[in-house]
Amino acid sequence: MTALLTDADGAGPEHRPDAPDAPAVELPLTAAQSGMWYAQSLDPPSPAQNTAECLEIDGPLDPELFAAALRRVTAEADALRVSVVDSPDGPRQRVLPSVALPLTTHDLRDASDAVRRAEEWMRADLAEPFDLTAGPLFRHALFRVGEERWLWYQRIHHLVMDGFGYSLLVRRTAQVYTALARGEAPGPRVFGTLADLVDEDAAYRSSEAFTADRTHWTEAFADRPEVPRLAGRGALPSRTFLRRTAHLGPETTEGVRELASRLRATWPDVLIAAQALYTSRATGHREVVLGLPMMGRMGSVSLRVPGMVMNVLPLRLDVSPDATFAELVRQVVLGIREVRRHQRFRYEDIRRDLRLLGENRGLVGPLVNVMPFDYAVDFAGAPARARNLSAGPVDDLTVNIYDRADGRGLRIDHDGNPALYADGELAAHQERFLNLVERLSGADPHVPTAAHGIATAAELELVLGTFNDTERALPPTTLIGPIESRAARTPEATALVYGDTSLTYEELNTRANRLARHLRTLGARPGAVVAVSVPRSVELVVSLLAVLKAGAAYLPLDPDYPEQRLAYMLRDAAPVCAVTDRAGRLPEDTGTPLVVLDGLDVSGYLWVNPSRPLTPAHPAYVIYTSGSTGRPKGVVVSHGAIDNRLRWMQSAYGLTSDDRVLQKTPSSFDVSVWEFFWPLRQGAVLVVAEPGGHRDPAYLARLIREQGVTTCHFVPSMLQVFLVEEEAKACGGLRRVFCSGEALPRETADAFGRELPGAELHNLYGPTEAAVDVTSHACAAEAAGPVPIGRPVWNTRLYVLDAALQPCPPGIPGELYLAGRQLAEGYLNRPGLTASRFVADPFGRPEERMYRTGDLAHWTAQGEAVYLGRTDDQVKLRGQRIELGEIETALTARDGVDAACALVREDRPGEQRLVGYITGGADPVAVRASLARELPEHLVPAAVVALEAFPLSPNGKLDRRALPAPVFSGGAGSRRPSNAREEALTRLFAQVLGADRVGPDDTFFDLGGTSLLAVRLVARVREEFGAELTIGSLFESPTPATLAARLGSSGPASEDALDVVLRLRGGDGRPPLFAIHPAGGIAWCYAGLSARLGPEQPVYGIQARGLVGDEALPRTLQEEASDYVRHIRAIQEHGPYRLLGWSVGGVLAHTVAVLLQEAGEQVELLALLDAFPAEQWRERPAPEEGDALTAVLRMAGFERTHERNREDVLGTLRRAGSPLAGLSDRALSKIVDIVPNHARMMREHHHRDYEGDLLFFTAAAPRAEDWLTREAWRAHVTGSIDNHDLDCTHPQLMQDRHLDDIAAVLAARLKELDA
Amino acid sequence: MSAGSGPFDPGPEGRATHLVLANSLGRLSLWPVWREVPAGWSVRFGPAPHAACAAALEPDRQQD
Amino acid sequence: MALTLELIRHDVADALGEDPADIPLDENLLDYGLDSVRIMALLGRWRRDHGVKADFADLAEQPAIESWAPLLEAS
Repeated sequence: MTALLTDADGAGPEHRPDAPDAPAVELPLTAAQSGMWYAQSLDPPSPAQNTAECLEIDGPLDPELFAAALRRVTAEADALRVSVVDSPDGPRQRVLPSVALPLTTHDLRDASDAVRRAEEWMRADLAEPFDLTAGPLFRHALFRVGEERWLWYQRIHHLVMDGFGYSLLVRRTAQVYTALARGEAPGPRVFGTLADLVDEDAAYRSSEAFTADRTHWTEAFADRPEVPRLAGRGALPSRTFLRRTAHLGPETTEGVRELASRLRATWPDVLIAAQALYTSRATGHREVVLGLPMMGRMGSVSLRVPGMVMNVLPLRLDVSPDATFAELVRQVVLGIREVRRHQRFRYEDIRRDLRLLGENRGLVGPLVNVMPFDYAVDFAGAPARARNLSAGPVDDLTVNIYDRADGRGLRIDHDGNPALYADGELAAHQERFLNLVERLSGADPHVPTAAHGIATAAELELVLGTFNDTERALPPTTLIGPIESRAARTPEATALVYGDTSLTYEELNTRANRLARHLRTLGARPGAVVAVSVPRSVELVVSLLAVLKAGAAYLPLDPDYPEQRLAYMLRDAAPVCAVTDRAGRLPEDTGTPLVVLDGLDVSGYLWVNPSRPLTPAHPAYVIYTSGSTGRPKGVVVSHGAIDNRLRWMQSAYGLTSDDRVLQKTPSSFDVSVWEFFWPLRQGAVLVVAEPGGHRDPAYLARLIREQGVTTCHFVPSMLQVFLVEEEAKACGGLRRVFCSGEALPRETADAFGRELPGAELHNLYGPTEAAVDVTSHACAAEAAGPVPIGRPVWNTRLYVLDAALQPCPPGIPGELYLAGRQLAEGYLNRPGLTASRFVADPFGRPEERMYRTGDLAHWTAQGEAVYLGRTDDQVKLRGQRIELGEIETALTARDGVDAACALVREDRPGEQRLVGYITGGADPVAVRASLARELPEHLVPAAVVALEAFPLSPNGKLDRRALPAPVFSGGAGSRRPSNAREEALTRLFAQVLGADRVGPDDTFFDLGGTSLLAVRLVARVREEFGAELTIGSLFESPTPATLAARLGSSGPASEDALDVVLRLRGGDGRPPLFAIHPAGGIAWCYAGLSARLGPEQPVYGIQARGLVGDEALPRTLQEEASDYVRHIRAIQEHGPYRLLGWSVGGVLAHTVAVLLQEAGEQVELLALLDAFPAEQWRERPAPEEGDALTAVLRMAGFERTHERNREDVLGTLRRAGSPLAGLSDRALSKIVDIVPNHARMMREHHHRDYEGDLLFFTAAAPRAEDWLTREAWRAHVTGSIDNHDLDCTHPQLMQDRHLDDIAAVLAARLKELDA
Repeated sequence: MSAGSGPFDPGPEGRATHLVLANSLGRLSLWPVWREVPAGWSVRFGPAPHAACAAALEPDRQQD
Repeated sequence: MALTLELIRHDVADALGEDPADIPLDENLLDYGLDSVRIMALLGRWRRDHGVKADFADLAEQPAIESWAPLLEAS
């Protein structure tokens, strides 16, 4: 724009010093100024430190006299004549004796939009940074925007001026101008000097008051409170700020003043209290810390010095919904009084003392900047009104409140950091704040603040009404009714496929009907509960349908759950009976009658649908979820609730008879409910995955492809894993995939779009307490940001409520409450818990309830909900709901545990692991193993860490952030990898596990390996070795050494570890060492030994036959040994042979040696590890199957406790992540047979003589079988016995420390033989 | 070890912070004393401390 | 109408929400909770009702009733 200039002042800054030349004075910066200087040095071209003000002057004004007045004031105000230089002693300010007056004048009288053009000019000027070293650090402009209307603009760097300083400058300018206009002398200088300020600052900083103030602030904020921010996060200050200006109308202003006086407070106290209330509700923090800019001049020389003195101090307030507004205002009054006593201590110093600077943490949330400065001025009778244009940098959000007493009420500016707030958000905060102030000013201040929400009336209508407009009239049907109608309509259609089995609707219906009629004889009827504990199979589907057909509610009991858990649920739910596939599945001492399907004949029952007096209000199922106090709780869901859910789902996604739906979710999780029943209601096909199949992405991909599955569900973390599976791309038949159970990352949704472009991805959300899901969101390509959980389903309302149970406007986080038809009835037999989670609904129809989810969420402006986290300790891990309290209770219940806590850590991005912490003397490894026997797998921590004591925060609470990451570092004192493959695998293990170091004999699952990490490791191994490897093989070979051995061996990948010959280390050159298995038949235990013997020594494990395949077990040791001789000679046709065996393996090795010698071969080494000849055992009773189980457990490192049968043992192994657990049920069952078979054969065996010496290792620790002696071998050995005692028990022989000793002896002997 | 301070969490020791509400269907609801009682519900017990309300909800002391 | 010492004391006590009898004439009013907002409020009232000429800094510099009386031209 063109500036029309008055003649007098020329085209810009003029050069007319008022004072004679004199030397510049140099002063240090005050502490207040230093802060500004550092901020500016961080970003020299930033205009953020500009402050500016505009004065509207109405009346005749003489521009020349005005300039003269400014010149005089400039000469009087030292701070204006300052520039800042950096010196070796830090920054210093030079006060020049005079500076030219930087004033421009603009005559805009003729412009039609004079004010707008002036404001544009100001805005542009405000964006110009000052150069601190050059100065001057201020400038003026005078706009004539009308005949008798002027705008006086001044911009000053914040380092030299604050808001109060402006008021001094303005008053003095008006005074001088008025005097000049009246031809009078302006009077003597009224300002103090800048040196006064500097001196006062220095005096304070070396005073006792300074020390006392420091103590005050450090103590008051010792706990370093979390700072509530309206944006939910912090950011570095921007170079500019956003501003919204509004006025609190005269009436409201008057109301505020009256309220203030009634409460014996000031209007700023009331507004600060209102802002605290707003901030508390908008951030969900009961405690807020507001920043209060303080003028800092009371009782100080600075009252007369224009300069930079102001300080920002934290005001800490407790905003509780039960306190009244009057009480809150009182808190503000007292709080400010306290702050004022210590107000000279600098904000920057408090932050530094609290060590917030280094962590880049804030001290305060929003600032409330009250500026009641003395602007009652006139310019020779022309009145003036001041308007602030910039109050300095905005870190977060600043509410500036000016009292200008101009009849327009209070002016309120909301300044926001544009890095944190969009313009619309800032406007919304302002509008709500003003609205809140208005309501507060007219309300009784002596009622709890809970009566006030922060949403405006329009926002309330939106979030309660518009967003929840979901009402649909539906017929009163049940979960089962529509399935029976469907079966009647399409009896011949395929209803279910499981492996090679497939059932039509009629067949399924008939089977379910017969079983239902049987269940009715046991008391199954509407209102009763029937437990179902059947692995995924046709029988499971039949059983669930049968329960429903009988009218009862089903209670799914996961067969993999520990016995104790199952027993608890049976006692708690007291079902009329429990359906199970075979005997021994469920504990039998709970008094629940069992219906064992194996061998049950129901063919005598009528095949037609049973009639039952079932209504939508009756319960359909009871599903247990983790309970925070250690007791799982049963959620009772009615037919009406789940029917509503399935009707909505059908309407939303339109399943047809062409669809095939995958059933892979365990029946104990409620996602399985729609998997089971939705397809059967719609005539689609239910494709049932194998038990355990839900963990294996490769299996799932194959099943989906082979079975033409169109519809399935994934927990997001599993979807992520699935999508990287090579075969996932081939699942093009998928039409729709549903995600739920945990937050769906945008990256996963995007990856889905890339890998399966033909399929839809739907994000669903809901707790078990509201019939599976209550919201849905269809993921769109191209979308960004967090994936919303979406809009409510039919007849369902979502409320996002603040701490006072008032609705949050869009964008404001609050706790998510659910209301409507899908709410569960409550928790079985837990009226107290039910009444505290299902509570009265203040927004629905009378008498309705709402469910408190404990989830945090906010509404988008479009009416979708976004999940933000939890309000409590509940966590979701791989889609499964976990109450940390339950794990803590379980940990604390162990012997030797004094206290415990549990949490989910994400020490590496995307890898969440449940970790338990304990104090007391307990062995963390044993604690974890013991937990594995009581809790379902998903509740067992990946690691338990023992601590001396829990880290505490300054206020004595547990400091969770200070809990150490579990060190999943193996390899302590272990050997080095002995070949390239082992070396590569230890590296991959370490990478995938995030462990510092992994030794070749460390077990994946002991180092924090989870099933998801296992998938990742297998993928990496496949990449690196190009080898086929399944998840199962990692369970079978969980150490780098065993995995290396497996990768090195040929033969089918998943079974080779169980072949008779297990190549632990190949190679030729030296004669191999054959190591014969102990009682369990598996030779993996020699992997560590093999590794220690070095890469040159080939080692083969010899394993029992029958672990794979259907071969019969041997009848005698002689037969078994002959068999092994054949295998050994297939590898090494002729001697000399080297043989070794531990335990039963030693007896076998002796027998093999004898057989080889009898065949004319030479045996040069026979090494027995704590093995004793047959006759020593003969008179002792042979173990029963029970003892075999003990032996199996011992092989895995457990002492047997509650395990009654082989199912229990397998369960324990599986839950503990034992390598043995990775074996198929079949193989494990085989082991349980092999152990007693060996015991029997040993007792029947008769040794022949071995010609030669024996190398013997004795486990020398005292043992129960004190009758065992190696001397007994003398009868069967012609040579000597070279014994080596090891200080350990029999099972400990194969542990690292002892293996080292054994290997050393063996290696030496082998070396002699080689020589 | 959670430090709850939500509307349904226990308040300061001994303070009468909660009510037990009931509706005509016999449903019960814990309720904070500072919030207006929703339509259709009436006060069955309280104001009383959280623990007392919890006890009133479970007379047989089957406490969670 | 001119201000009197008692009137000043009355107004100050009102601004502080205290009883006039509890406000001494010679004590620093900052210790009684007087702050810049209250000084501005008092100043506004006295300018309007009594034509007082003193400014904020005058009052804030010596925050005691005795010291204010001459500045406010009170009798």
